[in-house]
Amino acid sequence: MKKTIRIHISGFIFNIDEDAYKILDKWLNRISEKYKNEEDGEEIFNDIEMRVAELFEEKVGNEGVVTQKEVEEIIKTMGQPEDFENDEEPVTENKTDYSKKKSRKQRRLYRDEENKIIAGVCSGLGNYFGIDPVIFRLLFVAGLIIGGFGTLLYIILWIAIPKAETIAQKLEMNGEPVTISNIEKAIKEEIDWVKEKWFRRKKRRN
Amino acid sequence: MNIENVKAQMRKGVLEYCTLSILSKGYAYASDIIKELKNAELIVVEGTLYPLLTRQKNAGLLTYKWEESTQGPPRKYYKLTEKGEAALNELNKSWNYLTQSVEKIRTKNTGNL
Repeated sequence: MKKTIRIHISGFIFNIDEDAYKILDKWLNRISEKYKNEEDGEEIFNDIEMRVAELFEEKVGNEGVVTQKEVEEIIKTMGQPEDFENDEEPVTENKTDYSKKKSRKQRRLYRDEENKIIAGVCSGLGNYFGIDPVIFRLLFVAGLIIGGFGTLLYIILWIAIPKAETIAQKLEMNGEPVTISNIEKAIKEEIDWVKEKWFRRKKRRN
Repeated sequence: MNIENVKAQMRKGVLEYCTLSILSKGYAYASDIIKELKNAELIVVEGTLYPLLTRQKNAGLLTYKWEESTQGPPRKYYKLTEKGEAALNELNKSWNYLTQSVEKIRTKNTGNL
């Protein structure tokens, strides 16, 4: 004898026995866990749930009882959440994440013109020290108000620090080792950056 | 080199391409897309398709409408946007180019076949 539970999935109603319910619930929770931090995670989850309901309905009809067998079959068809996608994120973020750059290995000081306000001195310093360039910007502005000292220092640094021009220099600036795969990655980012810049310019002209 | 990883990467690219290709014929329901991908043995687990559709939709390649169904709640029907069509054209070209390149390499090194 087994207890059955009445469940409601995406507009369908099913009777499901207790063991089957536990397995299904655990599996659905893992999917929801995987996507809960994503903007459209809920949509993805709902779509999957909808498909599950459809497959149940194909197997047992609206009034049948879903057992462990059906649940296991459906999990096999749908797959485990870790098999849905490769876990590398498809996010292409152009802004440098300063807090992430902790390792100081092979890092060199360059001006970062991709994230510049004036000449990229502060963003370069930020890259080098692995902290937000806003801090340097504030220090320079403070120096400017107090005695004009900031301007002079900024100009000296502007002259003294080379700007990161080649891909290898940009990698060194970010503290990444200069390897083929890193260069490849950097080239891709570079292309995206140029594209975006070009689009923006075009938009401004229109 | 991790063969499984390479295979997964290859399949992923092809899957994205084929989904766009299937949708170029007009509105389709996710389960119909799955059927077609399964027939072609391109999809291993069905769960792969749903995140992919949502991501393509968010990238502006797809759009969908809700349609009433006789068998249950309304269903989502996807189709390509103009941007999606442009992307598909691009991928068609790239695919032809790629298969030619691979073929060239393979015939040149027939000893390996």
